[in-house]
Amino acid sequence: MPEILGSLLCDGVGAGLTTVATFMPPIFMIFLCLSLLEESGYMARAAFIMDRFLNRIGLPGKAFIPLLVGFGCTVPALLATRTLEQRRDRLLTMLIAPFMSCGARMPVYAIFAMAFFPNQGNIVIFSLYLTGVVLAILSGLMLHRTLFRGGAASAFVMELPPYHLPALRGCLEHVWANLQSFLVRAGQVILTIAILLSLANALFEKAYRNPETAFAHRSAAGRVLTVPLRPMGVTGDNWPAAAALLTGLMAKEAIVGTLEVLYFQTEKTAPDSRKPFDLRAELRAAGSALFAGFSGSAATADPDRSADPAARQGLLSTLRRNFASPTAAYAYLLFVLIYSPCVAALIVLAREAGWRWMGFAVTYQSLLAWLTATVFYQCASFPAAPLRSVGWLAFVTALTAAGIALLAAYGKRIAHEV
Amino acid sequence: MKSETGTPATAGKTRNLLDLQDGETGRIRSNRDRKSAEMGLFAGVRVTMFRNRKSEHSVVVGAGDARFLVSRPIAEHIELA
Repeated sequence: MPEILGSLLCDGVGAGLTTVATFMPPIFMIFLCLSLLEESGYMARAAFIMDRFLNRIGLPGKAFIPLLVGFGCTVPALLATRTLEQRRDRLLTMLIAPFMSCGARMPVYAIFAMAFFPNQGNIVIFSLYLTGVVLAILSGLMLHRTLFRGGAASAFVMELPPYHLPALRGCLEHVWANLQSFLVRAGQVILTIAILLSLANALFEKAYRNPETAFAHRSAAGRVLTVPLRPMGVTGDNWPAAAALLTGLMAKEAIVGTLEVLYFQTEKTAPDSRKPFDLRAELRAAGSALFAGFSGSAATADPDRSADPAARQGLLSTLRRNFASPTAAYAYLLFVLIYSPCVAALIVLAREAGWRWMGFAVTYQSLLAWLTATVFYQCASFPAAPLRSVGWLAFVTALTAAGIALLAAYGKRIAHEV
Repeated sequence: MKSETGTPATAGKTRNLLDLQDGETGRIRSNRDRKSAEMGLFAGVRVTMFRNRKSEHSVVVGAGDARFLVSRPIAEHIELA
């Protein structure tokens, strides 16, 4: 079989199908649990309790359900915004739901916590989750007063059903409707993107017949990526960290795997040779991953789990060598927490809100991630380089003020749309 | 349960749902909000206020065996006889 065709089928179609299939178990479980809670009458009462708090950021109490779901996975969280009647409420919720740190980011937090914070790992990870919640609230407040200022606070009427045993058949029908919607609407686009990416990668590999040349070009491109990340502590030599953020757009779990592969390739002088392609083995692995996802045994999707302790220890020490300090590592984690969600979530966001709002979400979250990580790193490294820190903090302040003014001005223009 | 009372209507001021305190009942005279009317809060229905706190954005009312969570902007549009 020609190598490109094999690569298209496995890395393109196979990876795309795997990505879509990976989301099916969490979507199934989350919507099943939501349906059971809603059918039993509990959710309406929970929405009433949360109404008082969420109203301060211009959202109804029902919006807490998508935000809660976001801690598991952003994709069903965005789908769950359909329960909100007002378009304005849906848009605002969709913009802040990704700040609830999804489960796919946990492997990244865990590896970095093991490498840099072995004794305070639990506090570090909790602080990241808390930061996400705080940023969601602050973003909601800011967007409510700027971009969505023209929109009226949502008024709603909701029946409080008496508590009763939920009907399983009705719940399963509701779950199937949501699964089907995701498979058809988001699955097509994810598959297409995966095929295009694998085709581009295969052509790139083929263009550079010498793997060393291909690696050198990849390394040079990676160094360019580190330029905007330097203020948050990513050095030019640590280009795998920047490249991993790009693969993180496909799936956040891919960040750790990418770091492992690229660090291995940089630490060896020559890049590793590719394993011979085996279609049966790849299909078997895809089936196992799907089964493991439904059985819950791959819930954390920790790519390091299959590695032996010695290899895992190698990655930890490599991380410590490449990141200048724990401060730089924590700034990197802040960026991973806040920046754009994965492409599956972006596709769902585009389908639910439109491509313009999806573009805004990517820009807003990535910029906010950079601002937050830069502020943290510059404040933490102030004693070492006070002038540099003051310069960057002044720039961040000016950029933030300009951004808020821009949002307020744009909010006036689109007041009639939301 | 308290009988049909609540804040008496002064001259020129119509009573609305928000004028009912906890436990008080009233009969709806008109409802300008279509959605709540279609859900069961239509003219002629006797309603009971279960929870009305100024610090909360919505109130809990009962109409027959049903219970509704109604936000204050909508409750203002529900006039009582």
